[in-house]
Amino acid sequence: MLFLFLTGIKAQSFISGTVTNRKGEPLTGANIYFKNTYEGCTSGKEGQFMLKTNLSGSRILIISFMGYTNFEKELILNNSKLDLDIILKESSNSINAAVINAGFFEASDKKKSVLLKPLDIVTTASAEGDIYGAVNTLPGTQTVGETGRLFVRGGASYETKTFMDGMLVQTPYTSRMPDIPVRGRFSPFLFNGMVFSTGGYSAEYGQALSSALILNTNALAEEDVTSISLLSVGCGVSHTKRWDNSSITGSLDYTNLTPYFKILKHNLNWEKEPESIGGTVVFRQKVREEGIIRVFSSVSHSHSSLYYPNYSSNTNDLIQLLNNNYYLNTTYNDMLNDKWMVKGGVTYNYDRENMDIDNSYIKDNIRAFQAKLSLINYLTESLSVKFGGEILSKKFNQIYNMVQDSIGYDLNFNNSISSVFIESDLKGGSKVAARIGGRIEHSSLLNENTLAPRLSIAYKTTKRSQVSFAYGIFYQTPQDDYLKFNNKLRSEKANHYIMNFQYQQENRTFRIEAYYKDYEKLVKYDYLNSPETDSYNNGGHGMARGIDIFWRDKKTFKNSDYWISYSFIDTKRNYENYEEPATPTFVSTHNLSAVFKYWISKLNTQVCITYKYASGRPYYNPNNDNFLSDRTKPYQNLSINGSYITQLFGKFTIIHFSVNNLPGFNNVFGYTYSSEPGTDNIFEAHPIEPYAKRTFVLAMFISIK
Amino acid sequence: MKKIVVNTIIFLSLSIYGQDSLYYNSMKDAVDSMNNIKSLEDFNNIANIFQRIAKAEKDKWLPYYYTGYIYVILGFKQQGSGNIDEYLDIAQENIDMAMELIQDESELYTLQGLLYQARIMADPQTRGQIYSPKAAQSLEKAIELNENNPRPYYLLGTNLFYTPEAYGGGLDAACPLLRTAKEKYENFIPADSISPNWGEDYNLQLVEKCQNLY
Repeated sequence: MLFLFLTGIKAQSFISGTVTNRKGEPLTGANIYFKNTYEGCTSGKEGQFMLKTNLSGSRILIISFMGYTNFEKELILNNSKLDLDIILKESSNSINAAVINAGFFEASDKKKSVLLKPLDIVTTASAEGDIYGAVNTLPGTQTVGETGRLFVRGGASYETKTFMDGMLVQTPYTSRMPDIPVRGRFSPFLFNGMVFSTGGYSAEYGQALSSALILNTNALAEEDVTSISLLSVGCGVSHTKRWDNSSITGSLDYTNLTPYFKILKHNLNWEKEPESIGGTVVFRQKVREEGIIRVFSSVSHSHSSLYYPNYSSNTNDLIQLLNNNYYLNTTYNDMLNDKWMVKGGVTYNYDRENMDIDNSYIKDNIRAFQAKLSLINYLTESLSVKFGGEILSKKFNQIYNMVQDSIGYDLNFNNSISSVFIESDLKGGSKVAARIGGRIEHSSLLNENTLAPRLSIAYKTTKRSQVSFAYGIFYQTPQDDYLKFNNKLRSEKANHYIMNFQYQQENRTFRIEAYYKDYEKLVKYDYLNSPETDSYNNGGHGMARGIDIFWRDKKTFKNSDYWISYSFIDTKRNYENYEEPATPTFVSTHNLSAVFKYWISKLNTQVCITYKYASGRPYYNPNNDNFLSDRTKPYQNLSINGSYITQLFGKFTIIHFSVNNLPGFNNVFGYTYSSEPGTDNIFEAHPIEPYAKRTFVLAMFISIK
Repeated sequence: MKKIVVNTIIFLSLSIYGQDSLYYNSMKDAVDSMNNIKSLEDFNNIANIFQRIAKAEKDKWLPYYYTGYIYVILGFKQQGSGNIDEYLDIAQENIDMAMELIQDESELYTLQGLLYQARIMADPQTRGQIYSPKAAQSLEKAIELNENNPRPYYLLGTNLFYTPEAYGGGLDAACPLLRTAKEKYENFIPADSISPNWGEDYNLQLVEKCQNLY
């Protein structure tokens, strides 16, 4: 009543107009109002609005709409009639804005436009719960079944590095017996996000020639819970305690493959099947409003011994392997204020590996320490700068004693790599995003400085599609096995050029990426483990080019999700002891992975089927004069798994089974040859095959809250 | 009888809000229209009204609360479109603003719980694990702050109602909570006619389903 009365005596102004975006499309539902007043209206179907007001004098009109930057305009109101055509700019934080993505595969619970999520990893059939196994279904990776490691875009496995919360992990894989695939040391449940970069990655990361797998751990645990896992190969128990601002999880795992290898049909001759015990402590402390301290600590011991065929003596060598590993990773993240973010961390890694071969032995000791600090300044909504530095110091010791060749060494080196990096993220509205940066590294052992520029640009072509480009130079110090004999080597170098097109619509993603890589200063040697310093040099080189295609669809079939990856690669390199440039033994020209997941709600069961195909790999044949010109037959694998969710004694329980290579395809990874030719002057070939035609896992996970 | 009491309280609070009548009247209009919504555009329009009041008043938590509430509802309505988070992010901003203005408000923790439930909708398989405990914690906190508030019971019950038994849900788990919510709704008297007072009708529908199935 009072309101009506007041309106009667005041002069009125009329403001009308339309609200559109920069393409001229009308925006329905925008809020149009005068600052600090209740007066306003909402734009209609055609973006039109009509506002009547009794306000007078100078007033600020605000137009706001979800996903767009607010528009403000000062108006003088005095019985006025105004007509305004308002064009809103898409906010660079909008989910439709361009994002840097050339060379990237991102998996996260938080981000909106991701391709893979942590749960997807756990439920991928061929992966058997291993992070690297799941990443191996993404384009750009090679199927190298006998190693279990990642080989990316023509790069050997040492060229891919793993990072946990921004810090380098020195020993991401379990230790290796010949021809038996290794696994990652970390459980996929530790992580809430993952970036798999197949090239062109941020200047924040160094010491990886080809690829970076960046894992981000969970923040505070949600609630108190005890979990028990029973597997066909071992068991584990973990307990989590949550307080208001902190949480701690302790877990113990024990693995023993003795019963498993008793049941499984396999071609290995174990003296002692692999046995390992490990413990992990994960501590989280919230600091102030947005800060968090993360402490991750793990310790493990494993041992096994195996009779391995020796084709020079035609006997079996007894190989005994013992590994102790300790890893500590502590990081701190915080917003200092609205504009500044700080990220810092320290890690310590100790790895001891003893390998006894009959009466000979190799004892490796690696101690590595890393400290890193970076600051990010969010200058404006469309410009941020990140810079920082790190020190990575490594002590290597190897005692090498070969009785039959009466060779003995005690080899040591210390290397400290100091680095600084700077990188800037720019956004040109919602259409363009760019990241420009560089990294300078100094190695104390090699006494060498390197400068590595990096550049990434993304351009949004339509609402759902974008093109991107990435370029970068990458350096990596030579592998320990060369540095221990020669510390005058230079860093190996790779240049990456990547073009990417991505189309994303609701629950469908299509990506195609073309790349060219060019390798310089790769290490060459006369023969493996040559003790002569002069037998090592940086005279190697190589190139890789190819196309990676990815398609994922969670929409077409109800309750299902599938993705298909295809990679084509053409690569040659002249490194190690190669006689001439050749395609290395770990490369298949064509790689295909298809993963299909289906949720059967009636049975509370998720099933997953994966199929992998890789064309034949080169292998060295001493009977053939053409170097590395032989090819194995193609590799094929069809794996299946299922997870059944139920309640056991009122506790949440998952029962899981998986069968690897269900149809029993006969796969050959390559051949080893006898060191002496037979009577017919032909070297005898011995195929390298999977240790079992089919493998299986049966597991039960129980959570007690 | 209940109606008379409510009307008396509304009358009393009207006089308390005397100096703030523009705020009170505008809020009451908006809340009334919110309860008679016919289309998605109406939702948007009313959210805009609450947003304007929130921005102009600066120190009142209720307009932020309602803006957040409507954006959560809009989020639920986006199911399957992949845009849920965009709405929920705005809802969260508004809840955060409201939380800064008033501490330990049971209704805000209730709304926070509802928002977490909506986050799950965007990707149940991945997010269930993370947001289910978060939602439960917020709703339990809401009960701790005001055990007479029926809404946290209603939301806990609804959630269990639609959760399969294997995950600890099902009617056996849900119905006792929904019945408790019904009792609490019957005895619930909002502080005034602009205070939160939603959920009773739908709770009744579910309670009826509980009865039919037993």
